[in-house]
Formats: sequence, C-alpha cells, structure tokens
Amino acid sequence: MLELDGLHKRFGDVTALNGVSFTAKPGYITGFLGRNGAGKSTTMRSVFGLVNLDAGEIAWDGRPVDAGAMSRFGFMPEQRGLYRKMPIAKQVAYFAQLKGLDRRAADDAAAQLLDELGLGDRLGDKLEALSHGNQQRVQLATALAHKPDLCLLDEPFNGLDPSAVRVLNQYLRSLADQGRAVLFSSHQLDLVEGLCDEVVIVDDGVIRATGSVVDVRRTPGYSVLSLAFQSTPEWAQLANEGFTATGTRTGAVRMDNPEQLPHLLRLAGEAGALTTFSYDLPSLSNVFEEVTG
Amino acid sequence: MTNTTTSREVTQPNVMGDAALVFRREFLSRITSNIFLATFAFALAMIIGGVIFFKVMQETDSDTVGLVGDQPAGAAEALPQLAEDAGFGAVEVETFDSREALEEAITSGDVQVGVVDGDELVVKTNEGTLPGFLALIWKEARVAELVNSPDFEAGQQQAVASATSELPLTELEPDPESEAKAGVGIALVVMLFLTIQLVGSMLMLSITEEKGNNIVELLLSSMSAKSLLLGKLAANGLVGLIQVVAMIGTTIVAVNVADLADIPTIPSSLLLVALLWFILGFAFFGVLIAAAASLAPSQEDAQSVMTPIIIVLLIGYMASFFVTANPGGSAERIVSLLPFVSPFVMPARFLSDELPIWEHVLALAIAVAALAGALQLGSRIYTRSVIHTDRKLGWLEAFRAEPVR
Repeated sequence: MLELDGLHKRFGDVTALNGVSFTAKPGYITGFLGRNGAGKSTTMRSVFGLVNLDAGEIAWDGRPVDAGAMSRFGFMPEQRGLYRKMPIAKQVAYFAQLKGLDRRAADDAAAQLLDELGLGDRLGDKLEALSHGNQQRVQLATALAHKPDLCLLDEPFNGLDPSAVRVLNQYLRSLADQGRAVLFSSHQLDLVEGLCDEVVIVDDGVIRATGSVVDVRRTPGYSVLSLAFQSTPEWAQLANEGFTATGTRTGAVRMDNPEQLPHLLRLAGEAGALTTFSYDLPSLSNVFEEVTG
Repeated sequence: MTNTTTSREVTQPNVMGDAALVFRREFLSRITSNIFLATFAFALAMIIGGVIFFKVMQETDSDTVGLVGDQPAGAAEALPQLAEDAGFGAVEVETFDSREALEEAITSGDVQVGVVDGDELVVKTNEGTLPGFLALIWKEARVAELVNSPDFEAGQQQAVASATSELPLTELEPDPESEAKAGVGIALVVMLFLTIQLVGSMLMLSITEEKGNNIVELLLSSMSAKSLLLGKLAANGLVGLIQVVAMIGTTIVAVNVADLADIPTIPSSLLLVALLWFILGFAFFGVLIAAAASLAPSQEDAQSVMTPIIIVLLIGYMASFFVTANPGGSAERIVSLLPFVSPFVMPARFLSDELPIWEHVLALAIAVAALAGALQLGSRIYTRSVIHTDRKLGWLEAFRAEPVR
C-alpha cells in the first residue's frame, strides 16, 4: 500500500502541497481528482523523488520509498515524452530494463503489452510514425510493461477519444483485478466517476475529501432529485423553490432529507407534467464544487 | 506512518547497472545517427583524399634548378635532356641575380636545387638523388670546359683536381622533419578539436532532447541523474574515441603506405597518446557541456548557456596553434600545460620530439586534477538542474539548488 503522510511543498510564494495525506491500496483504483494546478502532479512526482518535499513522508508497504520500491512502480507523467526516433518495442523494453527486467524478459513484456494495446503490428515503427492516440498507448506501455505493483498515472485520459477512454478504463480495471494498486489523477471528474473504487479530492494543495466513491458522494449530506417533464415546465416558478434546469425539459433539486420527496414532487407536478424522476447521491462534480467552495 | 522497521535494508540505486543501460541505448543511437555517419565518412574521405592528392602532386611536379653566378659551359643547357633521360622527369632551369634570391626560392619550395658559381650546391634539405645527379653533370662540364680550353696543357694536375672535386652541399633546413611534423601536429590539433566539438554537440543535443521532450522525468523515475550522466558521457565518449582512432589510424596508415616525401614516418605510439588525451579532453569538456545543456529547457535555449563552454573550447583550440608554431618555446610550453589546451596540443608536442617526459607527466597530472574538479562541478550542476524542464536555470542557481534523485 502507498501511504502519503503530511506532504508539504512550497515553490517560492506558492503553496503546492499543504499537508497532503492519503493512501492507495492494492486491488483498488484510486482517483486523485482536482483542478489543474491543485497539486496532483506535484504529489505524484514526489513519490519518485522528483520533487524535494519540505515535509512529509511517503511509504510503500510500511517502508520509506527507496530505489527497490520504485522499481516496482510504474509512472506515466503528465508531460508525455518518449524518444521520437526509437522503435516503440525497443523503447518500451528499454524502460522495462531500467525497472530491473533482463533484456529478454523486457523484450517479451514489451511485445506482449503492445500487442494487448493493439499495437502488435507496429512494434518496429518509430514513435513519430504513430498517431497521437497510439503514442499515448506506447506511453502507457512504458509505465506498465514491467508489471508494477503500483501504477501511477498522471492525467492518463488527457487527449483520449471516447473509445480510447473505454479501453483504458477496462485496462486499469484489469490491473486492479490483478491485485495492483492503481492511482491516477484527473480533472475530468464525471469521466472517471464510474471507474474509481476510491477517490481523493485535492484543491489548493489540501485534501478536501477522501474515501470510497459512495462515502465521498455522501459527504455533503444531501441527495439530488432529478426530474423529466413532458414539456417545458414553469422554470421561474421552480427556480423559486430551489430547482435548477439541466435541460429544457429536465431539472434537479437538492434534497436534504428523503422526507422532502413528496413535497418536492408535488411542487414539480404543479409546474409541469412529470414523465420520470429519480434521486441519487450528488455526483463527484457536485461534491467537488461543494467541498472546494 | 513512516517506516519504523529500520533494520530492513534500504535498497540503493544501481548506479552502474542503470548507467550501462543508458550507455547502450545512447551509443547505438549516436553511432547510427546520420550526423555521425556523414561526418565520419567525410573526415576519412578528406584524409585519404588529401594523402592521395599530395602523392600525385609529388609524382607529377617538375623540378626546378636555380642558378646564380658563372656556370661551366653547356651544363645548364644539357641538364633538362640529361635529367629526362636519367628518369628524373621534367627539370627546368632558372637563373637568379643573387644568392639571397636563390635561397629564398629554395626555402619557399619553388626551386629544389641551386647551383652557386658553378661549384656549390644549395638545397633546402639533403634528400633524393637530384643533387648528386647535378654534381655529376657539373663535374663533367667543368672537366670538359677545362680540357677544351685553349690554355689547357697536360700536367695541370691542380686544375684537373679542382675540376673533378666534389661540389660542397649547403642545406638551408637540415632537419627535414620538423616542419612536416609541425604540419601533422596541426592536423592532430584539428582532428581532436573537431571530434570533441562534434561529440560534445551530440551530447548537448541528446540532453536537450530528453529535457525538451520531457523524457527526463520518466527516466529519473527509474534511475538516478548520476547514472544518466555517466551513461551519456561514456557513450558519447566512445563514439568520439572510435572517430579519433579511425581518423588518426587512417592518417598513420595512409601516410606511411604512400611514403610521402617530406612527411616523416608517424610512430604508432602517437595513437595511444592521442587516445589518452582525447579521453581526458572529452571527459573535461563533456561534463561541462552536459552541465550547461542541463540548464536549458530546450534546444533553442541551449545555445546561450553553452556560450561560456564554447569560448573556453575555442581559446584552447586557438592556443594550440600558438604552441604548435614553436613547441619548444618557454611561453608555449607553459600554455600547453593548461587543462583546456593540453588535450589538443600534447599529442602534437609528443610528435615534435619537444616534449620531455616530465612535462608530459606534469600535463597529465594537471589535466586529471582539472577533470576531477570539472566532474564535481558538472555532476553537481547536472543532477540539480536536469529535472527542471519548465525554465532556464542560471549556473549559480543550479549550483545552490537541491539535488533531485
């Protein structure tokens, strides 16, 4: 298990990390969520010693992270970068060797993983010959070819189209199912909500919420009632009661207590003909807005 | 939360193992790069072409014989035909007004042999068989002139002895190899400078590529900055070493095989001396180039941070010409001991025979000490600045920064 405890880091007058503490467990996908500049990348880089922390401790399986532990970590930095003129299989194998695999094992692992990622027929191609999406896959492969116990992926969904997002979701799930700890950062909360087992929400270098997705969604202490109308309702009338329009014929309202349900449904019915309604915990985006003000 | 089981061993980075992997990738990448292959082929072609050119020029050039003062009758007129018959090829005859003018033409190489007042030969350096051939013709002409003289009478032993006496030979530059060795020495300086400069540029590009493409972050998540630096220096150094061996080896073989006149046989030990100084020179400049390159976030910014290193490199290069012009001079000997000069010029001094062993050892000791300092400084700067891909760092800022990995 990866444990971060009280991480502090200042860059000049800017406080990047202000007591960041959380864990990433084997077999779990942990989403590290926050706006751009919230401190996600600084935290992830600090795991590899790429940032000199002012204070705080980072441990893996109860021990401070050392070179041996780092060789069991895989990293996909936010700033992507690989050798443009190097064949992709050699490139992935090179980074696997740097993580401790011997040459043959690294070659085999690189070929296998690239094949799994759909690049089996491009092994000898130089990176620059690949499309942006395929270059992203190679970047992922360099992070994971040595089968790390901890997969640290900084904004892995950046620049991916919906089908690539789906493939990556499935792949990350398979890694967690194999017992690996997966920690990824993202600022696209809705995109990753269904993927995470646990989430950590960070803002201005401070952890605002952490726990299982359900627990974090319970944090604000209310539910959201969603409604659909046959035709456009009287939004002005509903707005006075706290309803917000999410479309021309759909809307939502915060429900602090389940006992409010009949009352709210009655108000909605007076404003227009209801077709469907549902209520659920607030989305991660709602929670994020709530906890970060 | 942090570890309390301190009895468990902390795993240290495998600096040498990681450096070996970097070395392998970097070496294969550089040795197969177009820039290296093109430069390598060009350099070898220039060397071989140059040697062939000199050989052809020497074989096809006509010789010129310069005359000043009275000459035995018929000697000059008969010389061209006699020389051609004897296999000397085309020989031209030119008359000078004074001995000074003749000697100037001999020194500059326009005239190969001079004859003064019919009884003295003047050459730049006594070599080849043309002076001996001339002496023979002149003696015969003097004898014929004496015998055909209306005043000649039998029994004039003294006059006959004088006519058949050897023509004294004056050499203007008795050491034929000093100039040629200086020429080879300059060629050595140029080869070492160009190689260090070329390989240094490849090293700089390699470092700025990794910074500009953000590869360095991924690399440093797997190894220490020290491993990365070590592997890069060793790989680029070996590429340079191969280039130096090829260039000097080709020069030695080509010159010795072509057996060019005026050019001395080059001792094979020169290759070892040149290699030793290349290693010291590249390590010294290489680690400083690596440090400078690590300050820049991209190749565009690299030129400005490289300027101080380039200036030192050029000063060392220019100073080497000052030394090779007069390798035995006191000031030249002192300048050649400077650690940014010695790698270029010491092989040339070794070739010139103007290098006492103690001076060579002293120069090596100074170079090794300077290298130790450069390695300390360079690795300190590199390990502190290479991770900063967002902006350009100053030397002082990098020196004071905390190391990463």
